[in-house]
Amino acid sequence: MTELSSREVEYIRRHHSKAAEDNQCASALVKHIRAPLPLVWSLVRRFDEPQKYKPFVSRCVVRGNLEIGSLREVDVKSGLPATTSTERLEILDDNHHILSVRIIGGDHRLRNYSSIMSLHPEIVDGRPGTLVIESFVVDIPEGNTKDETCYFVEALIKCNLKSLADVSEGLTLQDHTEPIDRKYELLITRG
Amino acid sequence: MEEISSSVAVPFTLGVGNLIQKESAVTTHMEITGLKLMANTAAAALMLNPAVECLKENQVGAALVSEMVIECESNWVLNEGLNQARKEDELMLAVDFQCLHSSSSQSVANGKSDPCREEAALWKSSFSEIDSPIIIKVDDDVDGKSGISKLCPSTKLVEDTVCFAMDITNEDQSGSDESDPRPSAVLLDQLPGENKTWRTSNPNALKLNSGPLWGCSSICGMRQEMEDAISVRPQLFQVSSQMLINDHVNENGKQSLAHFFAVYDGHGGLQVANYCQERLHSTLIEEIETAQSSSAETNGRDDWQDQWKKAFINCFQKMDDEVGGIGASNKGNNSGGSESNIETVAPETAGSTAAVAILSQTHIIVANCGDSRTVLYRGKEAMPLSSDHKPNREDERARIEAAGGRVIHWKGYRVLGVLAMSRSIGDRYLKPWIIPEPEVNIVRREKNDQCLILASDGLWDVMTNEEACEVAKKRILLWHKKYGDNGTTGRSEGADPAAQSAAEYLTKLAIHRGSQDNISVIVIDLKAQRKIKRKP
Repeated sequence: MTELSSREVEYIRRHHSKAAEDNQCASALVKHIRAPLPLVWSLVRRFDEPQKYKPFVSRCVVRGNLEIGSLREVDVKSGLPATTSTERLEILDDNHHILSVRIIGGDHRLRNYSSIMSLHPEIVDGRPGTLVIESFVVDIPEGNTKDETCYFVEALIKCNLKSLADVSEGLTLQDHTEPIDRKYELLITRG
Repeated sequence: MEEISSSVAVPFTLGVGNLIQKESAVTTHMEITGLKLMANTAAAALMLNPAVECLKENQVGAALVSEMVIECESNWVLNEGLNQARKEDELMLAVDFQCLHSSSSQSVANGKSDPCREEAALWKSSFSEIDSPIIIKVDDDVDGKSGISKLCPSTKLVEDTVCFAMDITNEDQSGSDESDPRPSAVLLDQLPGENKTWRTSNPNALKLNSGPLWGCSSICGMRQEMEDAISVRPQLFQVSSQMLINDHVNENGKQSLAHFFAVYDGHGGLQVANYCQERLHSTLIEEIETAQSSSAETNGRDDWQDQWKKAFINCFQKMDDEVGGIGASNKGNNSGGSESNIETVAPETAGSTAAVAILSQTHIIVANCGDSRTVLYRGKEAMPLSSDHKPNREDERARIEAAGGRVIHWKGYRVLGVLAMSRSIGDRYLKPWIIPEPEVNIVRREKNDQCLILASDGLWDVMTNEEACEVAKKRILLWHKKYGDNGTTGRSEGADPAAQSAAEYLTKLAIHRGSQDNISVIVIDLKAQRKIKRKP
């Protein structure tokens, strides 16, 4: 596992402390993105449009209003060991920038899957950046080992986080974001 | 790199094509209904349109031939007087389904066996409804008396349609000549008259230099999106003798025409398969020319088979680089150190198989990357000319693990538990474990070669090599038995109706067998002359 800074460990302890059962595996991944937090969060919080940055999503339909408890039906692109996924919005915290989603059904092998994403402001090369932490818990499917299950889920999350970085940084280039401004400085201090 | 338009549409041709497309949409829907498949109009349209677009991109004339043949079949459905012909076709399908299903060695994925069994039950019921005289006739391969007389009118209709289509094809090729500046892509019409005469006077199958007898079919099937693509390029280029034999004494060796066929099965999006469809053949020509130049420089010391392998490996690598945004078009695109590259042709999670076959007078050269497959029917043996790149193939697993990756069984063996094939063009996110390197196989043609089949795994997942070859041959012979006495002499352009019939039948059969994927099939009849005596 990658060496985590004390700051990252503290974030994980505070926001990602869900424990794994014996028949489950859990892990957390970290991604540093060279894009300001408000921009990255605007992509992450779109529970109704994950395809904006998730490369494996071909279509997404949300039932009813967008609120805690909402369900979305996700169609998965071809080539993957899944075709659909039914997911529930558990947490959407615009103040602390936390999103939590639970998978409750669909055509795949991930049972009792739950993930949390938290975003934290940071400075990267003198410019505003975002630290993204995503953790997950999931049952180990019959026939697979804990190691295999973690490896598989981590591979998918790494791909999602890389795509999130690519999209955010691409949008940042378009926006020609300026170096630190006063409001952002306050965010970092408080964080 | 200069963009070259590979096909020019004559306004008249395009107009006719549009009309036929609309009619064909109805035809396809009716055919589907007749075959007792559950499908709505939208699904039928979705199934048809991508295939038509694919055909048009490759060869407008070929598309017209295909659609006109389908239109004829539609007329049979509409004409009550020809009801027996339709019954016979359904019976053939039912019989093949029965036999193949009971002898199938393919394993059905969990959760998908029930629909297949239901389908089998349905067909058993349908089979029992057919009266025995027809069964006897089909088993004995004897024409019923009334069948002959009823089929005569449509025979003439087919002949007229084929001739008309050939005219349109020629017209289209004339337009194509003007727009194609590549000297190596010499078309048959441009050959010296002497060669034409030679072609006509040599009936020997192996020496006949006419166009290939090909047919193809590509349908969406059970998936929501069509991500397959087919590329058929008859007479794509000329091959020097030095590229087919170790003959370096005669520097003025003859050149022979080579035909290009390819099936691309995309996943995670259609971008990579479409890009290969548009570009792979022309990139291959460049690599072959480079190889031939290199051969000249080294006085032909290189083995000719190694030259083909190098050409294909370089070609596939270029395609992989280009879809990943690496290449001339991206030079100077400095994005300030960002990993993101806006100029990429495809998302990094899109990829495609590539099953390519080069058909020359003397050899068949096959290159494969992924899990589509090319099979040669030689005598009575189905010979796979390619080996599927599956993650649990021993050497593939070893290569992946040596590179630090893993093969995990997650709904089948998958690279990182994600992708079910071990090689592909594209799939940037899975490098270095997924590589675009093709395996190249070269076989000499023989007189007892029956046909060549290229297809995506939508077919091979529900059919063995032997089954596909036997069905294809049967359908080709059946076509010639019905229509072979008329209109087959001198045909050298566009799709061959017998091979087309075989390709379409294979895709239908795959659906009946419960295929859950896009299905793309190319059938090439390797018997230059098929004259079947009618039993009195």
